[in-house]
Amino acid sequence: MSNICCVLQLVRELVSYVKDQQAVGVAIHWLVYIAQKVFNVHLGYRFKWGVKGPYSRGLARDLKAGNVRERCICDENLRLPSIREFLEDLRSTGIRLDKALEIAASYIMLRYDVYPKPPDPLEELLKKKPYITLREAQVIARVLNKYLVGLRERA
Amino acid sequence: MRVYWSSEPAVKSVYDELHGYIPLNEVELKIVDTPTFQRLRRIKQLAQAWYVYPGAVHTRFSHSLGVMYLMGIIASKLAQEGIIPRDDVQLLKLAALLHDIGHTPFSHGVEHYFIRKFRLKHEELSRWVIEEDPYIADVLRNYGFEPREVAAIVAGLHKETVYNELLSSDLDVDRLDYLLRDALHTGVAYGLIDLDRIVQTVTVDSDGYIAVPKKAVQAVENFYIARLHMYRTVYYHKTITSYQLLIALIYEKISESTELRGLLEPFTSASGIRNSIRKGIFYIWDDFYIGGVLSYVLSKDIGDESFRELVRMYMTRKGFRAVYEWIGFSNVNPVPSAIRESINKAIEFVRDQGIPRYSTLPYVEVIPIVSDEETVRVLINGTSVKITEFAGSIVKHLPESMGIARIYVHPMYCDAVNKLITKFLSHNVRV
Repeated sequence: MSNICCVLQLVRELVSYVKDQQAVGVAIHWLVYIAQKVFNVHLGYRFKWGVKGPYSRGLARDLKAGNVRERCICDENLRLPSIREFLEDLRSTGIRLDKALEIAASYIMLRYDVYPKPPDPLEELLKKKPYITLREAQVIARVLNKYLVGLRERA
Repeated sequence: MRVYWSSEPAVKSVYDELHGYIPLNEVELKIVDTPTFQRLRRIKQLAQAWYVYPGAVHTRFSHSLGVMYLMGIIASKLAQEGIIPRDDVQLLKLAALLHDIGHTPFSHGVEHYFIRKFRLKHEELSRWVIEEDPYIADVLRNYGFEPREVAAIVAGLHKETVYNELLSSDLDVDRLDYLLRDALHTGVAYGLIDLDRIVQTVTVDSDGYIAVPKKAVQAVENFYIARLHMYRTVYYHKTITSYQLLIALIYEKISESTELRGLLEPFTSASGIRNSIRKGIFYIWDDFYIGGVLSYVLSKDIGDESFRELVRMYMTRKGFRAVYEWIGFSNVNPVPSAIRESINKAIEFVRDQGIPRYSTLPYVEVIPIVSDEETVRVLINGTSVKITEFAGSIVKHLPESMGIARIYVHPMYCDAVNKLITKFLSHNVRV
C-alpha cells in the first residue's frame, strides 16, 4: 500500500473537519500516529516525541512530495470507517478537533511509547502542555478508553 | 541513582581531525572498546562518496565520537543554565556516542534495501543494538545506565523532549558534526559553518525547541545554506546516488536468491539481524564483509552473468549513469507531476523498445531544506519565533524543499536510451 496515498486520504478526512490549513499540517502527524498505533494501519512512519507531540520526519517529507497520481488502494486497509467514528467521538466532546487530536496522540504516546514511562501520563501531559486543562485531558482520555483496550506497550 | 559521570576524569584522549583531542571517561572508553562500537571503524560515513571525492573515506567511528563531543559541550551548557539536570549530561553523551551504532554497512546504500523491503531504518537497528547487544548493554548497565533510556533518546522517544531535539532536529549535534566532517573530507568548501558560534550560543526556548539568540542568526543561516549545498554536491550527487542504488540492487539480488542468500545470512532480514545482535555477532556485519562477498562472487563465478556484471560494475566504478536530471526548489511538490509522468513514460517506452528492464532506473527524491516543526527558534526579549518567521533572517526566503528526478541507465545502453527519451524529455538537463 502506498504510504502517501493513504496519508492523503487521511488529510482529506481531516480537512473536512479542520479548516485552517496550517493546523491540518500539524494535526495530520497526530492522526497518522493514531492510525498506526491504535488502528493498526501499517504506514511505516517512525514518530518521535516532539514538543507538540508525536512528529514524523518521514511523514513531513512525504507530505512535501505529495503529488501522487497513482491509483489509491487504501480503502480496505486504511480502516476509514473506524477512523471516522473515532474523529466523530473526539468532535462530540466539544473540544476543537485539532486540539483533541493533540491531546489524544500525546496521551497515547506518553502512555505507551515514551521512556522513562511517566507514572501518570495525564499529569505529564498537563505539565508539558499548560494550555490544556485537566477537564479537557480527562474528557479525551475517557473517549480513548474504548479504543485502547488491548493496546500494549511496545515489545 | 545515577552517578555524576559527566564529572568523571578522562582516562584517554582520542585525536579527532575536526575537534582536536576528545577526552573519554571510563564508561565512554568501555563503550568504545566493545566489538560492536569498533565495528563503526569499518563503516564509511559517506559510503560510496569516495567514488567521487577520493578523500571521503572517514568513518562512522570518528563521526560518533564527534557527535558525543558536541553533545557534551552543549548539554553541559544547558545544565549550567539549569535547563537540564547535571546528572543527565552523561546520559546524553552516551546516546550521542551510540546514535549510529546500528548503521548498516555502506551506510545509506544498504539501508535503502532494508527500508524498502522491511521498512527498517538504522535508527531502529540502533535501538535494538543498545538494548540487546550483550557488549553494549552490559557496559551501560555496569555503569548505572539503563540501555532502554539511552535507546529512547536515540529513537526520539525520551520523556524529555529537549533530549530528543538535541539529537534530532534541524540544528542537532548529529548534523553539526557531519556537515563539517563531510565538508572537510570531501573538500567541498560550501559545507563550512561557524560551529563555535552555534555551540556557544545554542539553547532551548520555553517550549523546549532548540533556539539561538539574535546574535547567532547569521551562523544558523549559514548552517541552513551549507546544508543545502552539501545536499546538492555530496549527499545527492548524481554519481554517488548511482552507486547507492547499485549496491542496494546487488544486496537485494543476493538476499532474494536462494542460491546466493547464504553469502549474507543472517543479515538478509529484520529478524536475522536482530538475532545476530542478541547473539553478539552483529559486529561482523560491516563494509569489509560486504566487500568480501562481492570479491568472492567474482573470484568463484557465483550467480548468473547478469548478476556478476552488476558486481563488476560496482567494483570497477562503471555503474549506472544519469542520462537525465531535473532539480527544482519549491515549498510544495518540488518535483512536479509533469516531470514524474514524463520520466515514467520515457522509461516505459525505452523498455518497450527492447532495453532490458533492469537497465533503466528512475530516481525521484524530495529533500526538506527547512522543516516546519523542527525549525530553529530565535530568542527575542524572552519570547521566541521560528527562524523562518524572523524578520531579519534570509532563512524565510529559502525554499522548503528540493526535488531531484533522474533516469539512471546501464552504461551499455546510455547512447541508445539518450536517443529514445528525447521525445519525452525534450526539456531535460542532460548530464
